[in-house]
Amino acid sequence: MEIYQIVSFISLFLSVVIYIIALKKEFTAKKLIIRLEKEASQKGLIKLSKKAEENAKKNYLKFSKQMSTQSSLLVKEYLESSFNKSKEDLDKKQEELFKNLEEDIKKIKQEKIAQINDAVSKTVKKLSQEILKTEINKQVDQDLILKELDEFLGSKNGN
Amino acid sequence: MEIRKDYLPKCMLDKDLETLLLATTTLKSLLYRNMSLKEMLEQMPKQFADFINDNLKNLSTNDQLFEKIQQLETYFKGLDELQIVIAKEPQQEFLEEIKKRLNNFTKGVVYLKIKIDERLFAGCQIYYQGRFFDGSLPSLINKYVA
Repeated sequence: MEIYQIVSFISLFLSVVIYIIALKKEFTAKKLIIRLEKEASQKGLIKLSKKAEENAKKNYLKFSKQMSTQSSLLVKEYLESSFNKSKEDLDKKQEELFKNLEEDIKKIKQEKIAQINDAVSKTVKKLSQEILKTEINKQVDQDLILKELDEFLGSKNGN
Repeated sequence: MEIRKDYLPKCMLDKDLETLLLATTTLKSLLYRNMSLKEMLEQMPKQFADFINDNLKNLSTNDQLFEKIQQLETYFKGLDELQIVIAKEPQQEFLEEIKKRLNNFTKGVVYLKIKIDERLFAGCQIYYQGRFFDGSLPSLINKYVA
């Protein structure tokens, strides 16, 4: 066999080997690419889902904050209005009660005063009667009568 | 015919008026029974007898006398009444004091009526010619205490 044949043969063999190696390399590269792609896709999804989760959390927090603010406002308004209403009602009732109380007190006061006056006048009258019956000096009484008669006659004369 | 009042006291009490009215009634009834005026008047207190005598002395006929007595009776019944209400029965001295004051005051004759009301306690109430004066003790208390 000639040299060129040997060389050619070796070359061919080498070529085949190289080709096989290349094929293998290609296969490995492809596999790697697929794996990389898969990983990349997985990473992207995770990232997206994380982002979505974050967004959702953010939105939720924002929303809940808004809701909380609104609901607290609503509650506050409701409480304020019901408090005002209750306060007005209470004020009205209190006013009415005070009015009634004042009238009652006035009435009771008048009744009590009348009772006291009555009792006092009765007692005074009784005491006076007893005292007057026994204590009035005849001379004093006569002097008083004569003085009054003089006054009456004097005024009559004046007329 | 005018009534002569020289012998008539200016102030007469119940009993005086009663005496005078009784006298006039008696005089009228006895007038036609031939009793002398003197006999009739002897039965009366001197002052009233003098008064009646003074008014009847110049009258001669029974009719004239009757008319005069009638006139006197009407006069007595129409006397102004001064009523004094007091708390206790007055003594004679006190009555005399009242009469003295009325004598000084009145131009005519007044019939003084004394009424007793214990509720006055002291002082008096006076009614005269439609006027009323309340000087009783309850009224004075009301006046000064109220």
